Amino acid sequence: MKTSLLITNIILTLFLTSCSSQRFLPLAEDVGQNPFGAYIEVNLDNSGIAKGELLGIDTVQNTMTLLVWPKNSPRKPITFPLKQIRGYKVQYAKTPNYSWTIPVYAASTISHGFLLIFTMPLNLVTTIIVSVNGKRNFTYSNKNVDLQQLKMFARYPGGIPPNVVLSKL
Amino acid sequence: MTKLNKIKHPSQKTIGIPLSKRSLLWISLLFLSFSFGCKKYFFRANYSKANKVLHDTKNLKEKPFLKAHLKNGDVCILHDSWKIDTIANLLSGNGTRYDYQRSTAVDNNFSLPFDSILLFETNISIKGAEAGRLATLGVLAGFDVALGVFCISNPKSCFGSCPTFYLKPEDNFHFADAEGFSNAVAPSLAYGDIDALNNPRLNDSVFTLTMRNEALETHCIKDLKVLAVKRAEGERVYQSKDNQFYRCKNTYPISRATGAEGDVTSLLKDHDRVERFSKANSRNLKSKEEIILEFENIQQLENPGLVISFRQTLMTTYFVYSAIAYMGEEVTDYMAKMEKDKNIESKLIHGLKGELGDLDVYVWDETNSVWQQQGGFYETGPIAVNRQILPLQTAGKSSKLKVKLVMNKGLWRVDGITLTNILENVKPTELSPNLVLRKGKEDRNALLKIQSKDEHLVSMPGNEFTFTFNIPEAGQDYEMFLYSKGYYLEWMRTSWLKDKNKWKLYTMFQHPTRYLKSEAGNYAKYEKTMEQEFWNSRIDTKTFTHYEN
Repeated sequence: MKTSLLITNIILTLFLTSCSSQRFLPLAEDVGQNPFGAYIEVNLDNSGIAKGELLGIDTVQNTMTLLVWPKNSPRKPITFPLKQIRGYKVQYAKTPNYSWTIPVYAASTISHGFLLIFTMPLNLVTTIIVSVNGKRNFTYSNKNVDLQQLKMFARYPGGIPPNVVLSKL
Repeated sequence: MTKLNKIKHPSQKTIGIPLSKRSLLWISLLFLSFSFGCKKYFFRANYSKANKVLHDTKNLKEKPFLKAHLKNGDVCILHDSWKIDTIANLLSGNGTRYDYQRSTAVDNNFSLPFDSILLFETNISIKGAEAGRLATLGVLAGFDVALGVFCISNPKSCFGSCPTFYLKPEDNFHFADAEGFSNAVAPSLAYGDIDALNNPRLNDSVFTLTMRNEALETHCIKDLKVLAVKRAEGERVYQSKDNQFYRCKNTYPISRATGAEGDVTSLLKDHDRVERFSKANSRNLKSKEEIILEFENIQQLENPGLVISFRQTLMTTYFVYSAIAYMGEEVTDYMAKMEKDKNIESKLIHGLKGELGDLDVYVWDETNSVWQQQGGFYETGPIAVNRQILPLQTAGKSSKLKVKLVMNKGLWRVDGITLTNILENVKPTELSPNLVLRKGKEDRNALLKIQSKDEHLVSMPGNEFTFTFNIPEAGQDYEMFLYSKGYYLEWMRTSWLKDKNKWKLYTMFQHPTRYLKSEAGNYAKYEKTMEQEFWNSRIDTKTFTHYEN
């Protein structure tokens, strides 16, 4: 029962997140031609999670600036101190969506007769892992990259220039 | 000149997969090795000095795109034709320039002075990032399609038969504890079966059993009971082919077992689901083979009984499915005839079965130097393992015993053989179910039907019923046997219609000896794939026998 619930949750999560890849992100092969920053989700101490395009990291002022686009509101820049950051996950290219393979491959095992007892779990496990891994591709977290390395994924990797008017982004 | 950073892809973690079957685990690992085959990407580098860019990119086969992040926030992305002039301090090349808002893009041939550039960025193209995953899905799809095609073209191989029973509801088909009335493919062939459940020690006041329909069949269950026999510590109760129950004590394993292939002691020594079986004779399906068993150091040879765990291969299943296929679209006509004509029924039961014979047992008579036939075992069904006893007639008081099994080649899978001492013949107590659950909810209608003498409990593909029985004396240990009576109707598959062959059907029933010879070649092809595909796993040891009301 617990296993079924776990599988159901994984499939639902994969489906619900399947459309969440950010539109401004390039395909993996076009990463070198993308002028924007990467998409980042930052866990903050007090104010939950900040999500948006990584604009820059100021290691002098110790701040990070994102361009966020709240639902039903115009996009806006937000800046917060680095010390508020508990963790982050950055995605620099569109992740492929393999979640459709989970029901399709599982359904195909119906033709296997009673062998589906073996082939359905095999298909479920493989497609779930492929989907989960696909989702995790092109993604780093604070476990993989530190703040210095994270700068490279910002729209302004050298820091936000003084002439940039953040409110006009 | 400083190269600021390089980024690599996060390392992949291995996920443990709790799969019960070794074969499935290996196949899974194969697929997973593909799906985890991710590359580590070293694709991006930032530079504050142009010379370092030149140095790091001069040996690259493919010149990377170069991003120049300007001090005013603009970015210039130059295609692979860019040049760095360290004398003129200029970066030049074709590309696109974006303003700091990234809202306007201008394509041009740019010439950028170094002092306008804050950072250089190179990105090596990420190619084939999805190759591993696509290969995994491709291989898996190929595997699924191949198996699907195999099952569609050989449906007899992919679908089970008879109601299956489980002590543990979470167990799957290959761990069925019992299977009911395998021979009853029509109402007139309905009969009752007794299956030893080999239950562990009982401590509860109730006993539950789950019944499933896991095949494309309609199961009609006329009666379902549990037969309980009290047992003390160290005792077991076994059932014989003629449905006598024997309380037994002591277990003597075989010292040596020899078949045509050589020493098979390790396969037959324990009731451990590791089975000894052989391929059928590819020239004649009616073909005998022998296994010689030797028991040594028997401390007490009084009232010996030979306990065997066995089941059939898929040979009989092949005959049942073939017979239905030979009938083609006239299957219902034949079934109707069979209901009316007992002669057909008799031929069906005794024709092929008589030719193939029992699993016969002989004991070596030292005094007269001859093999003395003791009896035999027979149970139809390839799913659950039967454990039965045959009382032996021995004259001597020796501590050694030599036994011979004679059986049809390719028909039997023998799991374990032991010798025991029979203490007494016992009569079991019959227990009727007092509660039936369906999908976890009480099903009074099902209970009434199973208790009724006139009605059948009908179970369709996918149905699952859980029966609960009250144990006569709570806390007392019992050996449990399942009694199930009924019949099942095999669903005709479209693909079988093409196999219609009245001549073969006639030969099968009227001249079974000739049929077994002529069909040997076809069966050999079927057996090859069938055995490889389906019986790699091992089955729990259970008894299955015939019981007539």
